[in-house]
Amino acid sequence: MSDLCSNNAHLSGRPRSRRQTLIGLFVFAVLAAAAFWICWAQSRFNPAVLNYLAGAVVATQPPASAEPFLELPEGLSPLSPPERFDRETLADKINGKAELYLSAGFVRLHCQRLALAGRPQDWLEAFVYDMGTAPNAYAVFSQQRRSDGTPLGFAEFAYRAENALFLAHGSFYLELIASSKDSRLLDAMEALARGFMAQRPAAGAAIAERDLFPREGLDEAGIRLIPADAFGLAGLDRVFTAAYAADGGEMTAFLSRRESPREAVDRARAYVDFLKAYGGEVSLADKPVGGTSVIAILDTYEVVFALGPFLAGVHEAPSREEALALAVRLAEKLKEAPHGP
Amino acid sequence: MAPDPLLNRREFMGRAARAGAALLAAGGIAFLTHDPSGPQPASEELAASGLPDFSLPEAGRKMCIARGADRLRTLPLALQALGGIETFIRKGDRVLIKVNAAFASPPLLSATTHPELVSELTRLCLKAGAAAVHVADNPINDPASCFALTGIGQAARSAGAEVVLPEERFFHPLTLPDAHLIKNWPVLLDPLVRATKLIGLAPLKDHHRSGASMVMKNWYGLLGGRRNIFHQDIQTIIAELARMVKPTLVVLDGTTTMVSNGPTGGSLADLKDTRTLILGTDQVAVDAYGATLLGKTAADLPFIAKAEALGAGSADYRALSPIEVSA
Repeated sequence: MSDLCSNNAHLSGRPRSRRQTLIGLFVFAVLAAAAFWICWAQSRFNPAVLNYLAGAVVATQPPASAEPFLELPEGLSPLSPPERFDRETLADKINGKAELYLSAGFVRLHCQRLALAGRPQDWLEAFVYDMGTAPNAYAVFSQQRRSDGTPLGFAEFAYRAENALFLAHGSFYLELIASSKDSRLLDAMEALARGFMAQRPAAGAAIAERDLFPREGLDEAGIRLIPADAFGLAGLDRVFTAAYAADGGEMTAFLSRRESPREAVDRARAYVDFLKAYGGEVSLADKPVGGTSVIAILDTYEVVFALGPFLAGVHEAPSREEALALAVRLAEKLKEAPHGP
Repeated sequence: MAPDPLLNRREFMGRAARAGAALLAAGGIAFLTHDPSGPQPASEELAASGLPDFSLPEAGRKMCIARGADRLRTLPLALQALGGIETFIRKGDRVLIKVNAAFASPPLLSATTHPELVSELTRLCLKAGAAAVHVADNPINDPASCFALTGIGQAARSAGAEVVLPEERFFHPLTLPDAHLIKNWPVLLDPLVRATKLIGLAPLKDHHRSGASMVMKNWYGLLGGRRNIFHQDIQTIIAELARMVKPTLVVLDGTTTMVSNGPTGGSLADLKDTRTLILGTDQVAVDAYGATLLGKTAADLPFIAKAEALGAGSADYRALSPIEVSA
């Protein structure tokens, strides 16, 4: 800008004026002071503003109608009215866990308490989360998966715990949570889940990325989808992970299909830079692909590479050799996958 | 963009000055109309500047770690180790027990205060001569369902306590001096100002947002309004709550701990039998020890250091020489 001004001053033949300079500095000082004040005021924003705009002080009673929002199997009846929550109000139902769902694309939640007919003390609560897409539903299902759950044969992504049933079906994630371990409640939950699926036969969808992990040593139940900020890196989203046994414990293979090979390369570079910023020491390897980064960090090893549209690698391996061996196997599987959009 | 050959230095300065004047005018109007105290409630009620101090300096900084699976045995044992319930509750006291009844979930899930502890603590307070015991919380879900389905309501009433279901009229605005977040915020003040002693009774849980929910996080249930906006800065709000509330005693129930998928859990697989009940007069120290039952350290939970920095207590629980007992 000073060049422009100098040039113009030269062109117009007018010398610089000290007065003009002082006025200019004053104007800039005023602008800087205004910017500083805005930042300072914003940093001390009073949250009470939002509260008084929002209204209610105490949680409100749900609506009086107890009509079920699901088709209920025989033997179950509503114990309370159905409730509905959206992105604004989800925390009113599940408090601090809301972020898990919101970050995965949550759309709405319907829930209702149901009881065995004539036995109000034996009740369950049905939560039906509409997550918008099947991968989003799989993300919340897989991230909360309990290790000792019993798989259910009637659905690919379903398991039963001692007192609960969890199911991902299409874009829906269901939690059916009972007040006790009573077998009649558990049977009713299973009937409810089957009925839910039967009413939405076309909703089921495969999660293709699950098939891209090497089979040997894979715990299929342990495949997770991290919807956002994977491994602590802001913006690293839609990352599938799978645990594998290693000599020194466990390691995790990961992959993420990006929009283009270029984006995969950019994401790989961003993740390597992130690890370097936290003290990682980077070396290069020519396997599984040229330019693969191997990062030693906090007594573990990371492998990061891009292959077609995939960002992939190995996370927290106990040794460099095991990390690279798993990375090679992962790359072989990725080469078999369609690389189109 | 090509430079404008008609714009000379003087004209540039003139335009910049006019733009600056416009900004200055806008900023000036904003400054003059800015209300630094924030919105006032509909009534003319002034914001309280703090809560009563329920702590007992003469009781000192004490802590007890009681091990056992039976809460009805570990609670009296731990209290005995701290000098007996009479150390904290005197004849004629009006005791408020702040439970965690956040969710309408069954006791089986350990997402809320266990009803056995509510009834036993009530019984002990009344036995020590308390004139009245009230049990209160402002749950996330609708209050009547929460107190009923958690079993807390029935446990409290059967032991002789009165359950305070939150009503809008019980809340009053409170501003914590020098606080960043608690400014003119509705707080469940009525039951607090009527009490002479305050006991926090919280379950030990994993928490997706804050890392853990223990005795300091339990005070979150004193807030009204759209408090979920505090989730954006949950570490600070917990620390400010710890500074706001000076309890007589806190009880952290790690008999069965929700170690994953908190704060709601949902499956028994989320729970672990850690068989520990922690009592103390220093809520920061109690939480610091509680972190270890989640497989964490105090350093893993920023709200602990923040609360300590605000003077709510000490994260060095070992300095309290906790008494360890087994039932």
